[in-house]
Amino acid sequence: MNAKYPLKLYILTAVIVFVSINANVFQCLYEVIEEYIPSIGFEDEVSLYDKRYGILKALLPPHELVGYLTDEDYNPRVFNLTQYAMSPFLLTYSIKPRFVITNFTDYAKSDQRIRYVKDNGFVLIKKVNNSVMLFRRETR
Amino acid sequence: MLFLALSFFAPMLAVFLMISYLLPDFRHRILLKLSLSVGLAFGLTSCTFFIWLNLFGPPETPYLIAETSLLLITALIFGYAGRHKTDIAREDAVPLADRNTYYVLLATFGFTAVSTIIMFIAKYLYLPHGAWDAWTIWNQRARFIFRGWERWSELFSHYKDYPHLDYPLMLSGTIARAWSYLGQEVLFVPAIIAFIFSFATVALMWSSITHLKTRYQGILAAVTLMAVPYYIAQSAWQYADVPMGFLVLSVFVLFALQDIDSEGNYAYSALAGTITGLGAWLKNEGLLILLCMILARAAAVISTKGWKAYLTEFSSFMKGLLPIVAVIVYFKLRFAPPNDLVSGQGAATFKRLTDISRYMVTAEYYIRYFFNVVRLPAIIFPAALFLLGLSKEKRYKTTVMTACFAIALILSGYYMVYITTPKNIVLHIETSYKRLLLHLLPGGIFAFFLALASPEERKQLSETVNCDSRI
Repeated sequence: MNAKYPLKLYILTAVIVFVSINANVFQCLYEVIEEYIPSIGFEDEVSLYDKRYGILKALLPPHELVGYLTDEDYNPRVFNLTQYAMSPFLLTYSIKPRFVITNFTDYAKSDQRIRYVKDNGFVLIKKVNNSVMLFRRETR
Repeated sequence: MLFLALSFFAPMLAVFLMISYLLPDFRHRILLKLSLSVGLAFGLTSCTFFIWLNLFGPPETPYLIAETSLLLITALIFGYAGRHKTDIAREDAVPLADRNTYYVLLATFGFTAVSTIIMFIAKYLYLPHGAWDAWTIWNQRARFIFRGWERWSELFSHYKDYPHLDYPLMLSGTIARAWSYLGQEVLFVPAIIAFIFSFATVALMWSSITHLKTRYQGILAAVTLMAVPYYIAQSAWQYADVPMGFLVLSVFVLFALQDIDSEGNYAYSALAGTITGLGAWLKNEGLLILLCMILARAAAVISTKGWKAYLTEFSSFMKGLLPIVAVIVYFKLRFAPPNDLVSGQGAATFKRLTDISRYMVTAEYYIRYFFNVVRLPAIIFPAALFLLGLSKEKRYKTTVMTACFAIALILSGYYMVYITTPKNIVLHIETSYKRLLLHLLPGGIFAFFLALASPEERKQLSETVNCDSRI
C-alpha cells in the first residue's frame, strides 16, 4: 500500500505536467506563429478604422449625431468598427442627420455613389478616399 | 505611469488593509488577500466613478483628488485599526507529500506562466483593441465616457444602433477611470486590466487552495487552471468573462473561509455579498449568478447548519450586497435600455419552450463546447479523482455543496436563456456559450480541488493503513 501511494502521485503529476505543457506550448506557438507573425507589418483592423475616420472627426461640430451610409448590406462588424472609431460622436445607421459619413466598398463606383448622396441633398465636405467621405445636408 | 499605478494600487492598498482588518484569520496570507483585493478594488472604484459622473459631472482633477484622498484615508484607518491585531501564528505547515514532484509542478507552473505571458503579449500585439465584444461594448463605452464626459449618457438613447447598452459599467468604468487618472486615452490600459484579472484568478486559486488545503493541492489547482489556455486567450481579448470567472471564484473562496470560521466573523459573507453584487455590475449574467448564489447558499447552509445559521449569514451577505444593488438599480432605471433577450419574449416564448429540438441542440452544444474549451486538460479531473480520491474532510462540505448547486443552477439558467432566446439559437450558443463557461471554470476547479483529497491526506491515510497492517 505504501509503495502504491507515491506511484499514484507520480502518475498524477506526470499527467498534469504533460497536459499543461502540451496545451500551453501548442497555444503559445499558435498565437505566435499563426496569428502574431503574419500580422507583423500590418496594422490591425480597429487601428485602421481609427485612422480612416480620425480626419473626419476634426471637421464635425461637437456632440453631433452622424449618419452612416454604405453601399453594402448591413454588416454589423463594419458598422461597429466605424462607431468605435467615430466615438464620441454618435453614429446612426441612417442618412437623416445633418452630417453623414460614408463607408463605400465598391471603389470603382465611387463617383456614382457621390452623385447619389448629392442627389439626396448633401454636399461633400471631405473626401478621404473613394470609400470614406463626409457630407453635410445642404441648407436652403 | 505614476498616475496609472495610483489608479490601480491606491484602491488595492485600501481594500487590502480593509481585508486584513476584517479577516484576521489569514493575516499572513498576503497573496490571498492581494488577489481578493483586485475584484473589490476595481469594482468599488468603478461604482464611485459612476456615482461621481452622475452627481458632479466629468471626473477630472477634483475627482482624482477626492478619490485618492478617500482611499488613502481608508487605508490609514484600517492600517491603524489593525496595527495591534496580533498575527495568528502560522499553523504548523503540513510536510509536503513529495518534495520532488512538488518542485516539478512548481517548475511547470513557471513554464506555463511564461508561455502564457508570451501568448498574452502576442495576442495584444495583433489585437491591441481586443476582440469584437471589447470594441463594440466594453472599450467602446469607456471611450465614449472618456471622450464625451459632458454628454456620455446620450449614448443610451441610441440603443438601436449600439449593441448591449443595457450591460452595466464595471469594466468600462474601470477603463475610463484609469484613463481619467492618466489624462489621456492609453491603448494598453484595457489589456493591463485584463492581464491583472487573469493572473489574479490564478493567484487566488493557488493561494486559497494552499490556505484551505495544502501547499501541494494549491499548486495542483493553479497548474490545472493554467492548463486551459483558452482562459488566458480569452482574457487577452479584453472581454468581461474572465473577470466574471474571477468574481465567482472569489465568492466561493469567501464562502469557504466563512465555513471554517469558528469565531462568528461574518465579514466573509458580507464581502461575498459585495463581490456577488459586483458580478451583476460587471455583466447582465451576473444578475442570474446573484440569484443562483443566493439559492445555492441557502440550500447548502440550511441543509448542513440549519436555518438560524443561514439567516445570520444571509443578513451579512445582504449588507455587503445591497449598496452595489442600489447602484445597479439606479443604472438600470436611469440609463439602461430594454434587454434584447427580455424584450424579445412574448407569445413565441411558449412555442420555444415546447420545442424539443431546442433542448436537444442546446444539450449537444453544452457537452461539445465543454470539451472544446477545456480540451485535453479535461482528463486531469477523472485522473485526479481516481488517483487521489475524495477528501474525508467534512469542514468544506457546505462550500462544495454551495459551489455544486450554484454551478448547476447557473448552467441551468443559461440553458433556459438559450431555449427561450429570440435570436437564432445556434448562432447565439456558438457566439456566447464558450465564454459563459469561463464564468464557472475557476470556481469549478476550486470546488473540485477542495473536495479532492490532498496528496498529504492520501499519504497520511496510506501510512495509517500500513501501520495498522503491521500491528
